Amino acid sequence: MAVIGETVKDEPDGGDLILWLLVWSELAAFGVLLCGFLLMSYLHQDSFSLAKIHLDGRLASINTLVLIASGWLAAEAARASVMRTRQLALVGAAVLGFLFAAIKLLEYREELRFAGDATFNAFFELYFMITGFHLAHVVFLGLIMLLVARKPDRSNVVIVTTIWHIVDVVWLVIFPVVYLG
Amino acid sequence: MQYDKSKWLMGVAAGLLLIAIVTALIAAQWKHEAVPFVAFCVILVLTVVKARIVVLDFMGLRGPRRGLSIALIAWPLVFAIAAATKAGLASL
Repeated sequence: MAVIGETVKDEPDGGDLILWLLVWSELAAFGVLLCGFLLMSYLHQDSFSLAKIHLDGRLASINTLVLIASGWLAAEAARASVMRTRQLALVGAAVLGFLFAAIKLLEYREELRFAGDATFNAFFELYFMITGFHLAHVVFLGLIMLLVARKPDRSNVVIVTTIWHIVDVVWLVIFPVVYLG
Repeated sequence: MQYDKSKWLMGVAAGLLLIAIVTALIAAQWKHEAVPFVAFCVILVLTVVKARIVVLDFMGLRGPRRGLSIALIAWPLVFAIAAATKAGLASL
């Protein structure tokens, strides 16, 4: 696998299979959850529409920006040839990931008040499952990026930043499906 | 060559941020109302751009596995289209 800016050639036998497996394990898991959400929102249109009013779309929008900015820093880390730049970009991406988590927890604090309401039960069960699972990925990968930043070997940086971009893509799907749909 | 690609990356990042800002504004503005159809189109573009340019091209995840690459682009497309269709039907 080669990042733009490098002259390294791709492995002829497709040595990126492990990375593809990681990517698709993420996409498959979130795919099932999102399919479930779409199906339930079709079956319970009224309660889902009402429940969505209690979500904070502004905080979710801000979090979208935070994650996009974090993804850009992750891309910078993968591109950087200077060790120090790579470390700083990785730490920056991780810090923005933790900021995402903090904003999400702030959002949860308001939304938990409605979670116990029987009318919105199905919605909030799925909502917390999907966004909580995503949040766990963000926090875990943030910690991994901090670990990788201590000794930023290029192959490790490429793997962790690629998965980070996938988590970005997953959020960019969660955002319209859960908040705007 | 390196310089040009660097500029390209910055341009892509700026474009992504711009689209995200517009998306955020749309979402905030229509928080308590039906989200306009164009919001889904913006998200659709943003997500596919991210999957295509950043993950497949920039991170070099295209390689010889063409089927997996196409599937990676199709994944966000399917959900964005499904959400857009659902919103479109609901607004009728």
